[in-house]
Amino acid sequence: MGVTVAKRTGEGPARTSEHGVWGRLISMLGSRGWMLLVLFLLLLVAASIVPDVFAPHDHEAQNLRARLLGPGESSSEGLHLLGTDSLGRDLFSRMVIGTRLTMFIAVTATLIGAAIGVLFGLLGGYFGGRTDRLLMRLGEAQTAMPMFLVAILLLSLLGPSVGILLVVLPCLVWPIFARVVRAEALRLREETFVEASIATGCSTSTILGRHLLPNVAPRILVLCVVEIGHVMLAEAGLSFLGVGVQPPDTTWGLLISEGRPLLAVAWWLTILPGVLLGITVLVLNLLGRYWESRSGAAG
Amino acid sequence: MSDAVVVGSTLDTGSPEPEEAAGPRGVLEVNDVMVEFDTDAGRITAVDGVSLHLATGETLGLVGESGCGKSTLARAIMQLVPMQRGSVRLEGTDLGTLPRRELRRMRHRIQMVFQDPRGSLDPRMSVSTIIGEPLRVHGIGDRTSRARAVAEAMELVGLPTAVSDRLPSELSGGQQQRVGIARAIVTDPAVLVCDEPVSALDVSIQAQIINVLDELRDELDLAMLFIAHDLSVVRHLSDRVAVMYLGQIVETGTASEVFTEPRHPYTQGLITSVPRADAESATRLQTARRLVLGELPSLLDPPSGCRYRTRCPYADDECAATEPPPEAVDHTDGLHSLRCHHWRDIAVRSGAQPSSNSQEQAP
Repeated sequence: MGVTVAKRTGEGPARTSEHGVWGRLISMLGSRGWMLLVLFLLLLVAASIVPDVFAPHDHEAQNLRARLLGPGESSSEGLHLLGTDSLGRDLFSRMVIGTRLTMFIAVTATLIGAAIGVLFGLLGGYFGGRTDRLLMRLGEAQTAMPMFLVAILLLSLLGPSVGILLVVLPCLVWPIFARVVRAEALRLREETFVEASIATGCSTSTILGRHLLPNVAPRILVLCVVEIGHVMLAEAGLSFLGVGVQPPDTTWGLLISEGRPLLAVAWWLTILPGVLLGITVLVLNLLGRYWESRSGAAG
Repeated sequence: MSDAVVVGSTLDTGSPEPEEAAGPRGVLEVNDVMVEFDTDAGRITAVDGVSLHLATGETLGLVGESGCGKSTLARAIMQLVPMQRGSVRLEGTDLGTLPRRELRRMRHRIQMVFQDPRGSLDPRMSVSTIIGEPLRVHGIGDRTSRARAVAEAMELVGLPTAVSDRLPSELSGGQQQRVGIARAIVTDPAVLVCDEPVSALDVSIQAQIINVLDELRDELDLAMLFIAHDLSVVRHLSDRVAVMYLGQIVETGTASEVFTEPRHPYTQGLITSVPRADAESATRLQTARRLVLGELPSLLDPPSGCRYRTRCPYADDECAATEPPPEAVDHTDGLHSLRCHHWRDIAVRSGAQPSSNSQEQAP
């Protein structure tokens, strides 16, 4: 359906990236396909705000007589759409409940990283010279370090907590924001309207905040969407290794981790949260790239 | 512009003693300005010892070829590029020595219109936000008086109120430049620097923009520095004209004098280069026809002595040896001056004639 719609409407999909896997995926989705992606994200957001509406069972209710039920099997409690875990808890309900913390950590950490990256990128790009070199070296040093190992070290020293995740995860993404924003600021500062603002009497903070920032905002938003997916993966990775979110809190990453020892007997406990995570990251990536190609074509 | 607003702002941020300092020479005094740039190929002197002055209500046209340093001079006056030497005094205050903060506060007294109308407007700001920005950053007036001042400025430059909420990309080139002009006059500046404000526009639009500037100058009593390479445009607007060549002003005088009795060979060449359909002037100038030949020499390695000598038909050894100083042409107003060793001989040889009416008409 996606293909035909894309061809008929002729608008939308990727004028800039017709080739490559992403380009092909993007052009496969018609304008209705995008609505589906957005709908999926809205569902996730709704699930994190009001999980009780979506969860058919109490996610903490144990039922030892209904342990390790496969997807679609029923217990005395009713249908378990995606099966149950070793304590008889409903997997679907647990995935719904886990959405909130997964989303919260990913979004918050990305926003923190974006704020740092945008600030550094604007300052470096606009002022250039020593400021720029210092900030960019900082970003490079950070990128050069195996941040995942540093994160594991930090989290095992200080003890895993959501708070520390929100310190560690932004470190993974800020250099990406800084690089993109710096490149944009470098380009924009040569524009006549920046010179005109100086001539008008704008202060540097006005120029950065009111002229440069709005002009890079669309790219930042696109990048945020993509990076939320990456942060989600990183959080899942840390939780899987046992240094991320700790029970009784739950995230998709933690569910994957909990299911791993039972992979041979109850594949759904690992695979299904993994599929959800994978789809979410894919959707975020597609949406980000789609918007990027759209704004590129418009501007 | 609402008077109360402007008076208040002048008291807040103006120069210490404007009435005392703004002497007979005028609101803007540019003295011996030199601007150098480092390029990959070496150091170039884009502006080399330029002095000029502007009185209230007066328009000075600055002409010269592309690359002669006109725009750099404009930017130096606006303090957008650093000067190696010289001073720019606005209403008696030396802008070059002001701390950044003070300079920023002075900027509403001197504003600029840029060559690229679209590029000089923030693509993400609406027309009314752009025009109101100078008022906002200088803290002039409150929200309502600013809105009123923006509406007045838009009316002055001939922008319909319907465009206030549009983005620059939704306007035509002429409208974009009108926005640029409205932004420049909204703070009621003393000096307006126009850097080739019409050269990026269609010919049909150019006249409209020129007329807007013409009316504004009279209405707001602006001192205007008008930079262009199109002589007919300059001639129409200017009271006085300065001709620039390789970073120096080679001839300056009242517009009528410079255009009818150009003394410097370069000015003569420039004026002759303008194609004219006017047969009478064509024949008159045939005897003195001296088109400017060849290319502008590189600023990296300017000629010794007189800078124009490499293209000048009258050049001799003296021109190569010594740089001609600015010399006043003995005239009633004493404002006509030029840099040429041989201008007296040239006047005789080329048979320069006193003003002829055929040259007087507006283009």
